[in-house]
Amino acid sequence: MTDDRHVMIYGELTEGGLASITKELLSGGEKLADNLGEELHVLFVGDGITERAREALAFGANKVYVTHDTRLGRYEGDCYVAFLAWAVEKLRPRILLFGNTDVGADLGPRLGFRLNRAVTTDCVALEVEQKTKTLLRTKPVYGGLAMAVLTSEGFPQITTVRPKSMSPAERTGSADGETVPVDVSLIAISPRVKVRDRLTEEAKGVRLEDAEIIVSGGRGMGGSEGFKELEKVGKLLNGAVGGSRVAVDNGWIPTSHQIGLTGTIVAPRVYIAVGISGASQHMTGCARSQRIIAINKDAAAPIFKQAHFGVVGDWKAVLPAFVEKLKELG
Amino acid sequence: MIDLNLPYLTEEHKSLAMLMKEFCDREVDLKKLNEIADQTIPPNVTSADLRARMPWDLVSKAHDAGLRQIAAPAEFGGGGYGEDHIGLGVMAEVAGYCGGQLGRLFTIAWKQMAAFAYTSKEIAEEVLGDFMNDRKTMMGASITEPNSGSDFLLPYDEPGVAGQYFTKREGDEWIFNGDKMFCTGGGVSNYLTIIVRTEPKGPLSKSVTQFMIDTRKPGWSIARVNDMMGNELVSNVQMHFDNYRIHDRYRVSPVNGAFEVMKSRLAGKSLHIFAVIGWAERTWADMKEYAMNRIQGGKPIIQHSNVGMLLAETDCMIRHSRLFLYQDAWEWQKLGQGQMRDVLGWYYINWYVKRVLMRLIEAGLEIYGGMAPQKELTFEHWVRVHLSIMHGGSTGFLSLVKAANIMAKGFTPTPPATDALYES
Amino acid sequence: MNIIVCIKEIPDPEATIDSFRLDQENKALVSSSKVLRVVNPFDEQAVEAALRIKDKTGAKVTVLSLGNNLDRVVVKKPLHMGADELILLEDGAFVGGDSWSTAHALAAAIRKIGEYDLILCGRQAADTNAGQTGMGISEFLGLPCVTVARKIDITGNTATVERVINNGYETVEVALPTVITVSNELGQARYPSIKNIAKSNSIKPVIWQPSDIGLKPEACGMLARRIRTASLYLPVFEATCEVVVGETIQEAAQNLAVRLRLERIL
Repeated sequence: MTDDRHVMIYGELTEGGLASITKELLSGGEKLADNLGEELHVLFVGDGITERAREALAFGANKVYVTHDTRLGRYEGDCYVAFLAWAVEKLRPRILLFGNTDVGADLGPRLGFRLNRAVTTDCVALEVEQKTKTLLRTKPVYGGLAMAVLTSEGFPQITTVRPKSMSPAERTGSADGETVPVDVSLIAISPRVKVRDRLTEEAKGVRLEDAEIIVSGGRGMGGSEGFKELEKVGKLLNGAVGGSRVAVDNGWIPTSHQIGLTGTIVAPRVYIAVGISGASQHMTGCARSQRIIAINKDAAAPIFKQAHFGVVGDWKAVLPAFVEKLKELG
Repeated sequence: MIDLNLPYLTEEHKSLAMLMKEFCDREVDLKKLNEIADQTIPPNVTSADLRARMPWDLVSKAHDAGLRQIAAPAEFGGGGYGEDHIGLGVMAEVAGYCGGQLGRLFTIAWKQMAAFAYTSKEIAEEVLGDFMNDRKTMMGASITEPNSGSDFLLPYDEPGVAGQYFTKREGDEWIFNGDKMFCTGGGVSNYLTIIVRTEPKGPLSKSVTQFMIDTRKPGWSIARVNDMMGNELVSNVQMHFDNYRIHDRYRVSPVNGAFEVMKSRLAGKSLHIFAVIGWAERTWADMKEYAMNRIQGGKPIIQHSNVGMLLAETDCMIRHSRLFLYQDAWEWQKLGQGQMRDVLGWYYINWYVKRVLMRLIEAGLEIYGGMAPQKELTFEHWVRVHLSIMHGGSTGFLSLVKAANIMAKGFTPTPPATDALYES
Repeated sequence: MNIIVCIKEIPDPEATIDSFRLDQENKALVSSSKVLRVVNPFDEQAVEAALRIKDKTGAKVTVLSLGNNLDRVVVKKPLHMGADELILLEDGAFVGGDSWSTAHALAAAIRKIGEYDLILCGRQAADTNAGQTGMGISEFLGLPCVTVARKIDITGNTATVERVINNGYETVEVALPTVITVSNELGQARYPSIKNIAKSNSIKPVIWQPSDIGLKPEACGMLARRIRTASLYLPVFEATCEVVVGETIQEAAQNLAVRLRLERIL
């Protein structure tokens, strides 16, 4: 097999094609590859995914590796770690990037321990240290109060990357280029965890990750009634509705709508935070929004430090007047 | 959060404090409690009306967490912390800090629990059984009368002074006639420990008796609600007794011997002060936060000397008060039940806390500027409530007068009757 | 049934930045002594998960924590909640580590404990936010690992776990022994009980040093780190908030709408 080191991305797909995170990693990965003067490869693991996987070639990848094996049809930690450990041994990437997604956050660290390589997680920026050709990984710590730049030794350099921290790559060329099938048939794979069921809640309306405008509620909403009001605003603005962890824990809004460090990370054009104090665990989820609008009755709430516009007042008084005026302005 | 790095606090105390904090953080909506307390009190309001306004769901959750009944004796299902004055104190302080109005809601009941050391087992079973089984059972205390406010506190023990002749005995029963005033929680409590004059002409120290009364019995009514500039959740009433009959078994002190019982009991009132200081610390913390964020003259106002200095001064005074309170509680606890304590510390606390609160109000007016009277800040609610709590005799210069008297006359094994009474 | 829960003591995640000082030399964020120390909230949920199993089918719950000068009020909290035993890996050699050294030491301690059917951890620590320790323990012990659980049921020798995935959850089954990391969707942890708090003064945790778990000090903590901190800095927030005002709150709200329309934001 090849001795050429390269930047490798663990690719993820949606029904429609490349997942957003993969496009983001392609964009970030390309910069690293250019810096190193090395190639950019993407590895897709699954069954019957080749058509969609090839798309990565049109987004800047030099090579796409893809499996086709029923045993790898669905993510299962043991199987995927076993395969990846074998694949990394064979393919010898210098850098291996995962998205900090459901799969990536589970797979990346485990692979690291399996390979005896230290992994960093949830990084928001990556750079190459030229002398050693290792990664400088920037990640928020203490819930976002501070930023750390971390390094580790040994290859491959492995890290997971926070979704929405890099802008996605654009489709530049065609999907022609090298697609390499990976024969997994001889690898011993035995899952210890059996998936019995998978239940996805149909997101009503616009999905959080894709929404241009998000209206979000926190502790200050005081109950699920408040979220009905937010839904009205969301409808008017054609946006999605989200909530802080407090709102989810209190059952005011479903878990799938949680925004924050342990929820969904969003980066909409407009983020309207209603009754949200601005604690860093939540702000992690929305800090990359282009414009943050804050409505909170506490003038000293930390959110006013990160918002671009705001009104100090009870949302019960602010929202109706705000919505009416918007309607009036047409 | 309050600073738990005090040598008076054991690991156990700190764990209890953290439990109270967790409870308040999860369950308490400070603004909502303030709004409830601020509701207009209509004329002719009844006990039922006042009780209907109470946040019973919160009280019930406090019971689930073991906090409501923590001071009740363990043999009746309570936490058994009735004699851990520091433990109750730190929890009261946290309840004030993290729960605002909730502080007094707890201390009103906790304070009463010490009484059961002096009741018969039957009465304890009856009253505490009610308390434990019915989560809407509240308990309070009553001393003051419309014509005897400071009278009950004056530093002398003249015959016939203070307290209307309230209670006559008829066989196995006592009959109450008269009014009691300024009873915190009286309007929402099922049980009250009450001190009444039972000997018409004698000096107070030998003329009062304590009872545990049930407000649901006939003859008890609310004469008026004292609608303050800042009301507490538990409200404050004047009560009228009209041939209210009570069996002698509900007497919880020797006849004319309430003083003997009272003087040796835990200084329950300082529990209220722990809660008051806790709420003051929270008010201070909010003020500081505001000063860190409000920019005037190109910098946060905390960097302006007038603001910084006021914050430093009030922080200093609050820390003083805390140390006072804990030292006093610790001494009290070390001495144990039935021992006489040096009352000077107690007088100083009473007087000093008022100074602290007044200074904090002054600081807030300066720091918040035009914002100070705005209802969006909880500051103005806090000011109104505390101007209502601090009043005359019990939180004023009278305390210093009494301290001075004792200093002049030397330690006496029996302090003025009134102070013993006030410790109930 | 034997359950081991790993907990971490951290500074209060709600503490604001002015309670911290940046130690440039040691590249660490140092919190003031006034900052509350707490059990990592996700680890508290792991304790809750263990106690729910104990309530239902009975179990011995052993709590394990690594650090130095651990605050007893913090590490005993799981006992107050209902856990049975507390073991501390407490020594200066243990501090300053990363996910690797922490997982390695915890795994060694778990090997020494010997009897276990289930190992629970919080999904990540709220200070370092790495989220790897549970997985590391499973790798070191050769156990399966199920992450981000919101519900755990044990029947016989099988754990049925609902785990959190994007937009929903999946149900998986795994044989014991296994490692499971717990997420906040599990639900609120129970309050500590006052009865247990009252007993706790007399409880002495078992304390182990590196040699007790077969490790040399160089194999622990800072000396065994695989991840190095090249630098640590405080991010500067560039946004300056324009707080829109008005005579009344309603007017302010209307002015906000106008402002945002002018800026073509909405």
